[in-house]
Amino acid sequence: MATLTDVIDRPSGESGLWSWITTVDHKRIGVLYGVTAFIFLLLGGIEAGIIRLQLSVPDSTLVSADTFNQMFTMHGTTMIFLVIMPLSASFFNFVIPLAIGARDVAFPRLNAFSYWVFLFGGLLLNASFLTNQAPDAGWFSYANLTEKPFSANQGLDYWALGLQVLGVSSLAAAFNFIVTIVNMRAPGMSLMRMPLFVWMTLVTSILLVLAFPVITVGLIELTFDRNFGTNFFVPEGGGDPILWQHLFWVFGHPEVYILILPAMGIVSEVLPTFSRKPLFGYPVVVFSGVVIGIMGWAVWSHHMFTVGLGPVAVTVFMITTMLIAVPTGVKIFNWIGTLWGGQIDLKTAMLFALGFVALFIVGGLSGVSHAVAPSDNQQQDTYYIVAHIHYVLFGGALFGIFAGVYYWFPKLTGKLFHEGLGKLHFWLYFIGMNVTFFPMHYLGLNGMPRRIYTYASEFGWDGLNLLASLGYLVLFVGTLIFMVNILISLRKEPDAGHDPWDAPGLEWSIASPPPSYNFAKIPEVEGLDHYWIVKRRAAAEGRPVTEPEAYVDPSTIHMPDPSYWPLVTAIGVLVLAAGMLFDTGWDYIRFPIPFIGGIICFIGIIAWANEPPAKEHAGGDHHAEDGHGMAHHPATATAAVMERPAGAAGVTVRLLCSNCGNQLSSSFRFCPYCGGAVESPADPDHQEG
Amino acid sequence: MAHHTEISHHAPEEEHPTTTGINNRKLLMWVFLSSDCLFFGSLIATYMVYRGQSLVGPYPVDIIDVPITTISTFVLLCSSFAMVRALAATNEDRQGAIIFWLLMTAFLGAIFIGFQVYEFNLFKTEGLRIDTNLFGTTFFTLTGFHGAHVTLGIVWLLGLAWVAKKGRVGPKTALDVELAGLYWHFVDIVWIVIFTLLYLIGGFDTGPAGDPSLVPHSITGFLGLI
Amino acid sequence: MSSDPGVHESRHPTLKQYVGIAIFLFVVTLIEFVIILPVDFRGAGWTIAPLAILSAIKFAAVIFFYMHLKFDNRLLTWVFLGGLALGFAVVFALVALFLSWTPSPRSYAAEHAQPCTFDHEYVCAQYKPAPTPLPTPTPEGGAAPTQVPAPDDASVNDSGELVAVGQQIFLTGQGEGTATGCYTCHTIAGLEGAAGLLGPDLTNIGAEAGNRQPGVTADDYLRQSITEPEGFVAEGVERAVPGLMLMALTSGLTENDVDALVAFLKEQQ
Repeated sequence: MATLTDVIDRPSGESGLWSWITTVDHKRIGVLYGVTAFIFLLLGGIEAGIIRLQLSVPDSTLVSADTFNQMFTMHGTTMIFLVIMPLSASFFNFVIPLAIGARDVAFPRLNAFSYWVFLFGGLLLNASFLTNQAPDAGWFSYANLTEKPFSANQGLDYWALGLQVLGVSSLAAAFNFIVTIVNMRAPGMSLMRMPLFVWMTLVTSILLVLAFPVITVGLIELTFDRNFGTNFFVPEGGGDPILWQHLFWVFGHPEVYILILPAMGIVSEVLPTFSRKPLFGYPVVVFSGVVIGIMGWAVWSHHMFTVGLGPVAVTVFMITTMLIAVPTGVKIFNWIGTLWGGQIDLKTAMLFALGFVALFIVGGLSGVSHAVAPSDNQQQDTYYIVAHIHYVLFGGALFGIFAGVYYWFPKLTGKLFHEGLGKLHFWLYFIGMNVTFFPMHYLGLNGMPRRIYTYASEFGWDGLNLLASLGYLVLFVGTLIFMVNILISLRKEPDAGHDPWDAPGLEWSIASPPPSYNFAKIPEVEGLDHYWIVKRRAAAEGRPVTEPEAYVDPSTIHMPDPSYWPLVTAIGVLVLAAGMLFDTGWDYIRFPIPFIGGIICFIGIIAWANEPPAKEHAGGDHHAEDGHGMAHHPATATAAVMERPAGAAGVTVRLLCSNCGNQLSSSFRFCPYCGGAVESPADPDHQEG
Repeated sequence: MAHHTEISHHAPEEEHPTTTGINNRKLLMWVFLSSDCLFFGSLIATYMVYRGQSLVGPYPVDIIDVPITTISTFVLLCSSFAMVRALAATNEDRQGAIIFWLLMTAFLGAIFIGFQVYEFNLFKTEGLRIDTNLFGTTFFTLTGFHGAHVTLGIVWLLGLAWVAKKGRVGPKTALDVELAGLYWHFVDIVWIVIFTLLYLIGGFDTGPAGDPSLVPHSITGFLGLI
Repeated sequence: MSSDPGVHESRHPTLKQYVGIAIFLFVVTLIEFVIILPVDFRGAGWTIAPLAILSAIKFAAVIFFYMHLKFDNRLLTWVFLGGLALGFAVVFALVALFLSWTPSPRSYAAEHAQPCTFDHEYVCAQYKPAPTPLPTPTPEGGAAPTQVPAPDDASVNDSGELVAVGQQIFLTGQGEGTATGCYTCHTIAGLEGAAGLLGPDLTNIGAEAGNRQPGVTADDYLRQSITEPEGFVAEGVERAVPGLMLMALTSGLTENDVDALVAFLKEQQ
């Protein structure tokens, strides 16, 4: 293998298709994640459209019941595993290294590997459509509906294997981000100086790392039941379908927080920026996020109240579920506290963040009503649940993600979104979302079960279903507007500057789009909202510091080199999983293809481990390629950088809040503790960006 | 040791200071092991939930052979000792000893796998297959995945030994050996748990499902664990 | 290079300690083995606590010394013990949830179990209940139909055999192929076991089938209703749950099975 890596140079080049395929740059991988997930969003949206079209009138015969089952299964699976999770991952990738002052993630090639495996997992899942065997057992695939006698085709095999592959991707990414956040922070960035989004990414990654193995085991057991005749969930053999439900939801409930916490982190970045005021009660928001992450493990059986767990179990999970509303509520109060007294600037990103808070409250309230087991018995498996999940995942997670898109797009491209179209997009989404999903509360309480493919007119569900379907059209138009907005904005000349929002985060102190090395000189972080501190002090001293650091020659900064092997290894993972679909029926080698995949993986990993650095800096630095600590070559970096004004050193402005008396380490106009105005002689002229 | 001067001027651990002072790869490995705890936890949970629920035999008491497995447990414990010797040799840069102890670890792991293959075959001839009953289903899945972990570890160790043979393993790259060692010891401690649960405690379970004596037995068993 | 071993010695136990731990692990394993050596002790409830404690000690010895957590950054200890504790909590919670479930749903399930109506290669073969005592056509013919609890007098005719097979499929789902037994959802008054309420009442289907769809014979109408249940639904057919009868329910039937079912249903007048 050494011979192989000796012969094949590391790929090089700054542009072109190959530069994207072999890239290990976290920013590019973030873009790949985002674009891929957006395409899957369109796909899941089309599936949703078929569902809504079918249900818009009673006794509809547009699609068969079988097709309908496939549609809602793939819609749910796609939106959760192929849209919201990777869109969050897209932000992790693009933002985290910038926000913690690092030059890349801890393991750049592992990062590329995560992306490719995610792409292949999504393709594998959707390949089931090509063989007309899409999974059709719902996104949580309850046993024993998923057992061979009841789902004879290979749909559930596609589902189980696709999720396994996606699990590999999520785990690899989560390992990477835990290490990155714990180990790669710029000097001075203590844990309690990390931006909220970084905190939520850390909590999410920890949840991923701990939750995914559980579903992995569940999926393994399902696959074994379907292919090797085991009895895990087969009652005739003594097995218990309830075990699948437990395994799925032990994973599934932390998964719910995996979906929502990144959006909460984004909103916690956007609200302070556009309120011109630090996040209210930062430590409380951090700890409530951590508490949600911990308590999220103790509530899973509330998905199973109607199973018959017995009064003790139901009571316990009822109480824990109600308790988890407390840290969630704390966050909402903190966001409202952030807005209170702020100078609110209703940019599109801010609108989406405010929409998030409003809609998440609605979804949270219906969530509390599920927590009450007697009331849940009425709501279980009705459209009330559908309304709830869409208020927290569409109104919650997706609105948070769009807030992030509008917030960080100027950083990614150097160009501002068209504000008018952006606001139109927001209002179409906000109205469309409520028109689509609010009626479902009523439908559910009127007894409309979820997952039925049609209904009789006598039930009285016609009008509200039609209304919901009309709401879908509004969302559809909103999505088109967003795509138009992207196209228009990308064709513009760069007009954003490096800090269009006067934002507090480290990422805004560098040029837009960021240079490949991110930071020529690794910053010294002085506090929470570092860049605000720097800007306020400069303003106080009457000198401009809004200029980003100058570009330096990238070749003087040691960066990880592109690589083929993450892609090769990912292909191996795909072959390994997809090969399980081909059962030869032979005695000893029923599944030969996975072995080929294993060999490809093996080759990929060996080559990965032995890969030499690229030619131009192959100067004996044997361990350069693992990418760790790329952020820390101050000697090379500083030498190449032009001298900056010595702003980072020295002056710390000590102030007392005139309202609450807390000591403030920097010259904010508003006290971060009480929100009261701070009359600061040192800060007469507020920087308005 | 000319090759070391070729490689680099710093050992990797000292090359890149990190925020916590822990090497990135080492932290990654520990997070992975933490994650793997949940993997084996779920498999063990499945075994525990289905313990004593088999509808037909063979039941554990008919088939589990504790003495043989005690021997294979000893072998695996020995391999852990060989592994720490390999790491010590790496730190002391004794090239011959590095290769010897790495191969010894892999060899002992292979013997353990040999025992497992023997055991699986024996069970098969005695009528227990993965699809026979819940005991077979959970037993083969749990021990099988542990065996797969051991096999992966053997491949890793052999790869390291091969690199060591080229003289590329030494104090500067001790972390490579250390990480393999962490993985190997983890597989060992998982086996400590499996051995206790499946063999010493669960190896004598009898009877078909619905045997009322089993339920209090399991409860006291669980209280015993805490 | 010379300084490196020194650095590592402070972080790793010495050879002596390693050997000591190896011996310790051996001895503990041996004690465990000795505990379960007497036949009376094997599987006894009281052995669980000491065995669990001993293995926990071994576990701790390996992670703190062999994996040198004791000498490493404390953060790593938290990382690992966090995952370990959560894994243990999941095991504990799942076992407790299954044990705390009283009365056991298993016994409830056993009492209310439906006969196994599918041919799961490994599982069902062993647990399949004795075949439902229904008349099966004998090679001699003629004898079987007389045992059928005849829905009406006209059932004894040339196609009697076919009708009997059709009834068996209706009640068990087992013909040459397999389907979900029709009785679960459909009622035929006077036929024991066929009292399902989800689908249309089939008591008089034989008389009505010919009039359901203009220009379609009773035979064709019934055949289509079996093979493509939702393909055509006649006016006035009451269904408690529309759309429930998927093609998958009957797709396992062979041509002959469908013939038999049609013959049986035509008799219901």
